[in-house]
Amino acid sequence: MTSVLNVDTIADKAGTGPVGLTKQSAAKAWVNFDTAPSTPAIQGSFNISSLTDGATEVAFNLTSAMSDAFYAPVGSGGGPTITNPANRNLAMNCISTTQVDTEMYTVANAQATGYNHGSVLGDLA
Amino acid sequence: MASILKVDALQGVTAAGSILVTGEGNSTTTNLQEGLAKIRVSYNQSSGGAQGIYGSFNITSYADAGTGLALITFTNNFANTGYSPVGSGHMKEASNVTVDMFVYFAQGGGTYTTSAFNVTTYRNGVGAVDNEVGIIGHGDLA
Repeated sequence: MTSVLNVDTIADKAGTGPVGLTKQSAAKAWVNFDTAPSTPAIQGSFNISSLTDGATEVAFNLTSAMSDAFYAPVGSGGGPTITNPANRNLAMNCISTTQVDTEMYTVANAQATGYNHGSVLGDLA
Repeated sequence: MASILKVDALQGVTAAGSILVTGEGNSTTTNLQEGLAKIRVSYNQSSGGAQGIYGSFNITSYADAGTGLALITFTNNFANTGYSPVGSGHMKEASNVTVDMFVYFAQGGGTYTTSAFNVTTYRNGVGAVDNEVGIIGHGDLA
């Protein structure tokens, strides 16, 4: 018989700490944003408060902070077509516990705009 | 003594698809469903080994759509195209492991819908190339 637990919030036995997901880890943030418009626009997100437009670079800001600046942001880019020269690569860097900087560039190592996909894994503060 | 709850399925009460869990620092909560990857796939498109899917989750099919180009189709669709797939790739051949290799998604061109996307692997200075590729994707399911 399948068991289903209906609950809104899960904490540890003490009621104040996290529960362990056995041998698994969930992402703490993800975002999809487009830097082609003059103002970068979020297409979808989780735990993202805003974008900071730095002209050639765009940072995304986290609503809930990470515990330190050694978490793991991963990202990929999306261009307007499926073929060269529209290819987009995406670099990411942890700036602080609440901010990840991104820069999109082409295969010619030139700064470019496009769709930015990012996920953040690590521990929350 | 550690307590372990054994259950086959979890649902929210207020909203079936939303459960909060306490974060590692004990000071905030995070949404469990939002943090879970909704798709995962690793596949080989190169001639350096058997071509096809190595492993996957919520993936219906992988199709070779040309050199370095694949079409990935999901079993359960996303709610919108604001989801966030990320990936990486490397050459199967040992002599060409990873040199300026990256994976990108044709959002804004090609196929990028709630049920499938095109993904291309590219090597700087060479162009689109067949690779081994790994992808995960976060977002909201329909």
